[in-house]
Amino acid sequence: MALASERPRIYEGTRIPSPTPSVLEVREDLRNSEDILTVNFGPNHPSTHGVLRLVVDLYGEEVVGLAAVVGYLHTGFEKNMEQKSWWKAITYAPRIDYLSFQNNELVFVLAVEKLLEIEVPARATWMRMLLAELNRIHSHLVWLGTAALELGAISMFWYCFRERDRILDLFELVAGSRMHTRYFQVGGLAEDVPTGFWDECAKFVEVMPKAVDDYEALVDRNEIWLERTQGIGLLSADDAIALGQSGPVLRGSGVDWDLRRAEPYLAYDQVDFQVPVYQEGDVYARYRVRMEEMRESVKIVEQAMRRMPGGPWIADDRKVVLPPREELHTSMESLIHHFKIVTEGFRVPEGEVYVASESPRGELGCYVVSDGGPKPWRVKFRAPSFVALEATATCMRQALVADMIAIVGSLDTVMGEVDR
Amino acid sequence: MDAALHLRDELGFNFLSDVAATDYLGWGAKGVSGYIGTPRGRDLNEPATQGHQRLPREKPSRFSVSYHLLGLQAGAPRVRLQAWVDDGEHVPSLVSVWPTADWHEREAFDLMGIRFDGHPNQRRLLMDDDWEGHPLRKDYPIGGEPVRFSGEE
Repeated sequence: MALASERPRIYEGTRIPSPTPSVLEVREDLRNSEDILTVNFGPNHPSTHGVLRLVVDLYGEEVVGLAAVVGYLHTGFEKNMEQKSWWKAITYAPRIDYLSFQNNELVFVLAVEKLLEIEVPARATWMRMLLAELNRIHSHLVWLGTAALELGAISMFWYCFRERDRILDLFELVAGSRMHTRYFQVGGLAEDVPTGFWDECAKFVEVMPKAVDDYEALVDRNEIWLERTQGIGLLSADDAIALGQSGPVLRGSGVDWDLRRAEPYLAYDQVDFQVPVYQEGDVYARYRVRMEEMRESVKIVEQAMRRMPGGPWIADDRKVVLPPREELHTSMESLIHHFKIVTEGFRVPEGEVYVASESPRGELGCYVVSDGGPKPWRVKFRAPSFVALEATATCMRQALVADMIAIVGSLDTVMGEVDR
Repeated sequence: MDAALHLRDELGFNFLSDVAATDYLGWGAKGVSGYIGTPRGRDLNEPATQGHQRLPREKPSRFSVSYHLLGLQAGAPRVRLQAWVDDGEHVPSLVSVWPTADWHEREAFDLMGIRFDGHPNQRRLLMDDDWEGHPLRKDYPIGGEPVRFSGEE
């Protein structure tokens, strides 16, 4: 089988359109040409991962102009969270990015904990890390399945969703619901991990690396896959940094940057894992980064499982954390605390924090302002997908119509997170 | 603007993480924690449980615009560049310094109504182009739209 022969090199200089970095304008000599066809790609198109609209100017098959239009899924999460108590606002966070829900939940909880300066028990920290990594695998699986489906590899979709379902089963086991688990509380976890979880998780850890081998066997040397991904959607390292790209897109452009290693949160400084980096900056490089990341995540899950500390799973702070259920029948104090936390909510000291974490899509930040009351004053999420879409105009220079699908897919955007 | 260039070129903060605009209207006012109630519509602010134990410190202006910067280097230094403006005042756009500010600033304009001088494409991002008002402002009415049920006259 012949491999794709020539792979265009990464370009020199910058390709970011000027003056508007996110809009690719039609070249001067083509501007009045009658051969320019302006097409709306989306918002209702199966390969836009939701409701993304791209206004594309085509010259033959070549993309000569492009502007991304977002906002079709704007649901006002941030405004909603301002109306809820801190405790209830956690429920909103996972719904923002419905593929990496636990990472969203995590970053919001971490931000609140930073304001509260509350200490989280080791067991909760390790369990959060384990679930965040499972969630990363889950998100990458959905990405791989759908991105390959868009490029015609339909069987990939079934294989990926087979493993994805196992992960969702694990989430169901641990939190009671498959998606939007709301398992992380301020101060720790909602419940202790059920005993049956470890056996199931061990089975999954055994299966997953082999499954990744299978995926690679399917597409890695597949000529169609290579032709459609290699050398497509180029983004240089400098441009990626200037455009604020993060996560697999940044690492696929040759920038060795991962927040899990650069500013370790949870217990990432105590586990052993590699950060895959590829230099080519094309769709194929991003695909490779995600495949390797799945393997690394399995390693982290395995280590977390082996070294999971015992002890309490939630902090013992009665002003913030609900008292144990059984105490409600015997202790008046506990009953009062329970009532106050549920009805009014706990108070968070005045202040503003920005907490960043490495979600499957990149730097997921949460900026929280508190006025000292029981509700957040302002919550703002730094959504990696939102930023990734800014790079569409740069990536799609000289792209063909068919490449457009591959490029949008490779940026791995979740529209819920883009529009919030 | 000078501060931004200094931060980027001298101190190595080459990565703009986020731009977050905040409305401090009603900050520290009694009984207000989440938002200000509306003249019409439901007032979800009714429960009288939102008083402060102590008043928060006053803010210099109504709006703040926070640029969260990150240096892609060892130690991952972060810094928050904050601008304070009142309604109607403008902030210089930093799109020419960090191109990624483009959509972030458009979002801040869209949802908070803060104008950025020198932004190449100052249009709404998330809401419709002809939308009235800026939804994330504290004085933007909430309370939902009236829903008609079937069979209702």
